[in-house]
Amino acid sequence: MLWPAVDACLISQPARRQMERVAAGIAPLGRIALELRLGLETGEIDLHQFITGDEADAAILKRYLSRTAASPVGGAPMRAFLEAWACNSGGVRDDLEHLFLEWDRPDLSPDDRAPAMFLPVQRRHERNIAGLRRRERVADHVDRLGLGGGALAQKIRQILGSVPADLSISYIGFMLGRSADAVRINLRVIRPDDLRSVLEGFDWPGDHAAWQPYFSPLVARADSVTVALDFAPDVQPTIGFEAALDGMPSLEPRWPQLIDYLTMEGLCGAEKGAALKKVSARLYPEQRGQMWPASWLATAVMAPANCVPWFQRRLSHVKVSVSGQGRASAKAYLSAQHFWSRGGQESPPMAASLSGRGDANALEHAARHAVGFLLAARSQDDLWRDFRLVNGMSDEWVSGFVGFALAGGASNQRRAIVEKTAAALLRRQRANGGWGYNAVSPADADSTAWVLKMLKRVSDHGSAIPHGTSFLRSHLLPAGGFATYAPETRISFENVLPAIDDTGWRSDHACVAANAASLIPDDLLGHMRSEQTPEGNWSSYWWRTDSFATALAVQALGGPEGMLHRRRAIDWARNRLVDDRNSAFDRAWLIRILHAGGPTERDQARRLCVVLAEEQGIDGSWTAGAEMLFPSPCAHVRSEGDNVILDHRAIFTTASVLMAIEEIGGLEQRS
Amino acid sequence: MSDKARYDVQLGIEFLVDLDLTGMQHGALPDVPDYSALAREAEKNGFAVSPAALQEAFRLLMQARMLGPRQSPRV
Repeated sequence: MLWPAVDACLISQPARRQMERVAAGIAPLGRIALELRLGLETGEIDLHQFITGDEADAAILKRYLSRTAASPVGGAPMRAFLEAWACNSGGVRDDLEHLFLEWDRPDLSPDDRAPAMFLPVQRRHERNIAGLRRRERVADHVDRLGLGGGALAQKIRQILGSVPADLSISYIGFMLGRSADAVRINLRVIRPDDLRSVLEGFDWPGDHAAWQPYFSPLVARADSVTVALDFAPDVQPTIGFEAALDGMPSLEPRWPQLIDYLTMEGLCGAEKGAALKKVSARLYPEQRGQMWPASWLATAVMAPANCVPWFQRRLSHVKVSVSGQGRASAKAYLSAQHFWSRGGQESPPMAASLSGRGDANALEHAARHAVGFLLAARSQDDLWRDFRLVNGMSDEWVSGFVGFALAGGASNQRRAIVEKTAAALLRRQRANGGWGYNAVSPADADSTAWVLKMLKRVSDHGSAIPHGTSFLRSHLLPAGGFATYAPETRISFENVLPAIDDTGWRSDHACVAANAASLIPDDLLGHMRSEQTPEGNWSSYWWRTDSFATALAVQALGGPEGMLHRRRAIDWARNRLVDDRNSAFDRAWLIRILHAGGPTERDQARRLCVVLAEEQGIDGSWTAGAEMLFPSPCAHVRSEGDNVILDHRAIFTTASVLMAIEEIGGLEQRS
Repeated sequence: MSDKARYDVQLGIEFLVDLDLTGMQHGALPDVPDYSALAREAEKNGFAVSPAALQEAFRLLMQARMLGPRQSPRV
C-alpha cells in the first residue's frame, strides 16, 4: 500500500527489494517509516518502526521476541530492554509510552542490523520540575534494564541532567548499531533567537555560521522544528533540524512550501521534491478499488464490528542535517500506518483532583496550569496554531485570541511572551492594515479585531493600531451591519477555493460585530443592540452555538444603556447552562455572561467555574469544544449541515476557559 | 453489476461474516492483495466465489460497519 506511491527516483530497485526482505523480518506491527535521502544520490534508505504502548502492540512484540531467536533487534541488551518494555516491567511502558526502532541502511548482514532506539522523554507540557522528574525516571529505567551497559547509563543520566530545566527533551536515541556510546537528544520548541545560546551552553564545538542559514527558515515554514544533538561521548559538531507539519499535505498548504524551500536551497532534487508532494493519502476499505492485503482483510472482518480499519501513508517530516564540516543535507520521512478504527482520541486524563482546595485556590491552580499548557503549545515562531481548514491551520487569528487571553494576566513572564507574539504578528500586518486566518488567507475583520485587542493590552505599537482600526471600519456595511470580509477583499485562499458567489461571507455577521464592537463602539454598539434576538442571544455565523458571540456582545454593551440587553442575555445563558451537552468552551462563555449579573448569578458563575476547573486535563487543557463553522461562501446564515471544525489542539478552548477562570476568580491582576 | 456478480458478492459476504480460519495454516493468507487463498477456503466451505467478489464483499462489509451497527451490507 506504500510502494505504489513511492516514485522510483526516491528509492532504487535494489534498495526496494532489500527493504522488503528486512521489513518481513521485523515485528509484525503495521507502523513503519522510510527515511529517504533527498540529495542527488539515489538509493540508500533507512527503515523505522513505531511501536505504541497499547496492550495489543506490546503483546505482538512480546510474542515476536519469544518466537524469533535471530530477529533483527540487535544484541542481548536491546532484546532484554524490549522484553521488559513489552511486559511493562517496573512500569517502563507506563513511562515510555511508545518507542521507535530505526535500522540504518539495512543492507548489511543480519548480525549487523542492530537498530537505533528512540525513547520519549518529556511530554510537551512537562517543564522544569516535572520535566526533571521525567528525565530521572527515564535514566532510572535505562540504568535498571542495562541498556548499553553501566557506563552508557551513567552517561545518559549525565546528559539528561546537563540539559537546562527550561528546555524540553522530546526523545533520547541510542545508536547501538553505530557506536556503543552514540546517543542523540532531540530538543523541542527552541526559538531561533535562543538556539545559539542553547548550543553555547552545551559547549557545542560546531560552526554556528553553518546552521544559521537553515534554522529560522525552517521554523517559519513548519509547525515544529526539533534540534537533534549527538553525543559520542561528548557533544559532536553535527546538528540536525527535524521540521514537521501536523496536517496531511493535502490539507496543509505549507507542505509544498517547505519542500520548495529545500529544493531552492539545493538540498532536494526537483524530481524528488515533486514525488514527495504526491505520496500522502488515506485509504479506507469501504471505498472502491482499495487493494487491502488478504491477511488484513481477513483480520478486519473477524475483528469486532466497531472496528473499521484504515491506512495512512504520508510525508511525516523532513530533516536538515549539518555535518561537522558544515555540509548540509536533507532527508524526508514517509510513514505508513494501519489504524483499527476511525474514532477520535479519548479525552485526556483529568488533572489531579482539586477537591480539598478552597475555590480560590482551585481556580488559581487551574489558571496556572492552563497558562503552562498554552505556553508549551506555542510554536517556535511565537505564534499559536489551531483549527484546520482547507487553507491550513490558523495562526494569525488564533494567536491574536490566545495572546489577548494571556495578556490579561499581570505576570512579567506572560507579558514578555505576549510581547514576542505581538512582534511576530506586527511582522504579519498586511498593507491594508489587517490580519487574516493565516498567511495564505486574506485579511478579515474578526482576525484583525482579535490582534488589535491583543496589541492594545501590551505596549505601544505605533501606527499598527490606527491602521488596523481603519481596516476594521472598511467592513461596516452601508445599510448597517458588519461583515467578515470587505467588498474589496479577494477571497481566494491562494486559489484553493474556486471563484464562486461569496456574498454570504461579506454579509452582516453578529459574531464578528460583537468582537469588534469594543474597538469601534460608536460604529457598532447601536447595531449590536438592534441585533439581539427576542430570546436574548446574538446569532453566530461562524460558530455552531451562540455563547461566544453573546458573551462578546455582553462585554461590549457594558454601560448603563446596555443593562436591559445584558439582563436578557443573562436569562438566555441561564437557560442554556442546563444543557449537559455544553462543551467546556460553551460553558466558559455562558458562565461569563452569567457573571455580568447580580450577586446570586455571580455566585452561581463562580460555582460553575470551579466545576469547570475540575475537568481540566492532566496537561492543563480542556477537551476541545470550540465548534467553528465553515459555511458555504454564498450562505447568509448558518445551517445545520455546515461543516464543523473543532480546535483540534484544544488551544482555543483552553484560552477561553482561562479567561473565564481569571475573570470570575478575580485573578486577572494576580496571575 | 449483473445478477450473477451480485449473487457472488452476496455469497462472499455470507462467507466473510462467519469467517473462521482455525483450519488454515498460519501465514497462508498473504500480505498482498491476492485473495485466491481466501477464495479456495471459501470453496472448501461451500461458497464458490471469485477473488474479485471477495474483494467487493469486504468493501460492502466495511461500508456497513461505517454506517452503523444495525445496517446490513447491501449488494
